[in-house]
Amino acid sequence: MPCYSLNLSLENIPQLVNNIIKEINLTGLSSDTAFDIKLALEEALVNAVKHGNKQDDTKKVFIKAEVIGNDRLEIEVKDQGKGFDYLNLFSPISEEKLESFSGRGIFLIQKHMDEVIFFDGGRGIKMIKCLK
Amino acid sequence: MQINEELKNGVMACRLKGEININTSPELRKVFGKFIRSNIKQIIIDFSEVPYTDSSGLATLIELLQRLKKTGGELKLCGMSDKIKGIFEVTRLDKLFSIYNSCESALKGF
Repeated sequence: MPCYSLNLSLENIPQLVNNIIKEINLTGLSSDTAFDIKLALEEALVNAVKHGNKQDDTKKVFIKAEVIGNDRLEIEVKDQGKGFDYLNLFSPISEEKLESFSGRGIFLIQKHMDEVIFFDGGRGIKMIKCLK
Repeated sequence: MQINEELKNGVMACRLKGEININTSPELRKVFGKFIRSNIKQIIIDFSEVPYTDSSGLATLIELLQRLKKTGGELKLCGMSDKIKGIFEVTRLDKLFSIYNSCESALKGF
């Protein structure tokens, strides 16, 4: 199962996401579920690099992906930033935020994964997807 | 990503091919900027060959929409897969954008 500790920059993220998904080797996965996992992982990595590590590529991003019992995928992404107040996220679907350029990453993760857990002061995110 | 442009009767039909992600959305943003600077006011973006977008793609489209609105222009999106349409719906951006199933019907609306 993939376990990475990387000095990651934004431009490397899409390829890394594809590599991780290949390495997880989820056969028989529906295309919808594969899409959800890809989107959530990419958004989490972009957040880790851009907002967590502030694009300081001397800082690392830690990634762990594990299939539990053939029916559940757990992915953890962790950065070396300062963390953030994940208890007070603004809603990107509110009227005043609807046209904002940013702020949809976590929302999309929450809508496409079955369970999302923040840890280590917001430096870490654990995303769980039931596999069908 | 491939970006095919066709200007016909004042309407820019922009057909995208490939993923919209953190690497390709800056390129898309440059092309949209070119449309705005060229004073194009009617734009259709065809998503028929776009299998995936992330939030950077949404941001790029929102920026185009806002810039077009300032010039009195109009933006239509068409040909989206169910998954991409689902992203627009869950983020309520389907209320902000004019989204058509087919590009023929999008064109008729201009």
